[in-house]
Amino acid sequence: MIQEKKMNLRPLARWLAALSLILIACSMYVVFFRSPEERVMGERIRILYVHVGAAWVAYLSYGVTAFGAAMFLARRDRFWDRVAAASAEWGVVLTTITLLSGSLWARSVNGWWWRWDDPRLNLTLILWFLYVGYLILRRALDGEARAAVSAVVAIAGLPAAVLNHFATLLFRTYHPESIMGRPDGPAADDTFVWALVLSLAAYSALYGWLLVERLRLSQVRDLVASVRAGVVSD
Amino acid sequence: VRTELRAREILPPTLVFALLAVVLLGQAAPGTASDLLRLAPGVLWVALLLGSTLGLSRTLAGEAEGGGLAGTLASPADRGAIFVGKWLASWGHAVLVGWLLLPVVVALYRLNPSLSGFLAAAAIVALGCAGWTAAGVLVSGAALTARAREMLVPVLLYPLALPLVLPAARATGAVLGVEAGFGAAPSTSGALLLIGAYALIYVVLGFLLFPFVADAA
Repeated sequence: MIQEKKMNLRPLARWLAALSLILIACSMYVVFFRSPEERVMGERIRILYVHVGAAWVAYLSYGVTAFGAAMFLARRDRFWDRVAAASAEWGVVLTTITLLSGSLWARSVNGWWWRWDDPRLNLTLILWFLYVGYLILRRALDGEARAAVSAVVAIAGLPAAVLNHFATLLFRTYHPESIMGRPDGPAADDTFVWALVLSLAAYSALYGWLLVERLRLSQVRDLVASVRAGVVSD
Repeated sequence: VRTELRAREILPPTLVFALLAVVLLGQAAPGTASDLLRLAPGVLWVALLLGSTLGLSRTLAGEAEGGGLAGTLASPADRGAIFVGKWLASWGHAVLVGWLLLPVVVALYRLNPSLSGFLAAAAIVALGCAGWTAAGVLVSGAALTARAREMLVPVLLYPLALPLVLPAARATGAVLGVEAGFGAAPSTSGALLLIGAYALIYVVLGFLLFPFVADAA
């Protein structure tokens, strides 16, 4: 039997809203007014602030979906099902932004839209398919079965994404080297790094806020549905 | 007897579908012999993965329609054991189709493998199908209670084929003597490791997660 712990999410939503608005404003300012043009990419460096932030949160949101799914199967608490579903919805949006912005950037800098030999491109693409399939499945299921079955599918997708990453890494490798992750420290000017960190923080806060709002919406929806069902049965 | 009847129902359409895929891809491909040669391992795997989906979506659905599944689930048999049974049956079907498909692809795409290479390719087909059918039984179980499940199974299952098709085609190509692929140096042992990891992960995952799906059905 599925149960649910009631939670008041409104205060959390407010704090996250305030935090994300402040961070977005700061990051916009730094990205457009403080960050200089890059030596090679010029103005096009600014696409990357959108791209890297979206990609980071897209990966994060798939992790949250899988975690929520696992927690639901372990606890049978509806709350975790809502977390998984809400995170997957934002995941689709963010993955789409990642793919489009990355493609635009690559076209403008390198002259191609897509490469099959890039592990991260392929990881993002497979995530997009997994998210979309998960959401289609949810729409095709009702009632008690939906939460459990979609949780299984969300978990089953995770190893595929990881293995796909290794497969492309093993056979085909092309992606601009990570700027932040180098062992000898970031390979970029401080301003670039700050702009990137701020945009990551802004994206993360925005994701948190939208996730909580989506949770609240789904709680209200179920409440309305149960009230309606009560009215009809009376 | 029932399993055999089901096999007779599933195998011929699966095989014909896979053969049609091989022919269609060959027809659509650019014509020179060397192009076809490089395409062959990929064609084998795409045809096999697409074809076996037909059978995978039937394994549970057929039984559910006949009402047999409710009986199986009501029995005290462990849900994980039911998964293993379904998986072994589907694996057998897929391997059979793969082994019948392999000589056809070799002939139509003008491959010229040694006997040991051919046998190694057959072994890779068996290994690749192990993970694929485990994922397939799990996903087709998940789609069982959904509306329009025939459409859902491919949508949910093909993304899971993405990590398999690259190392599988690479390893098959290497043992069949095809210099297929892009840029990076071929690494057959790495590919086999990935295919093996895929099989291990999805068999274990199916065993652990199938009970949740069965309870919901």
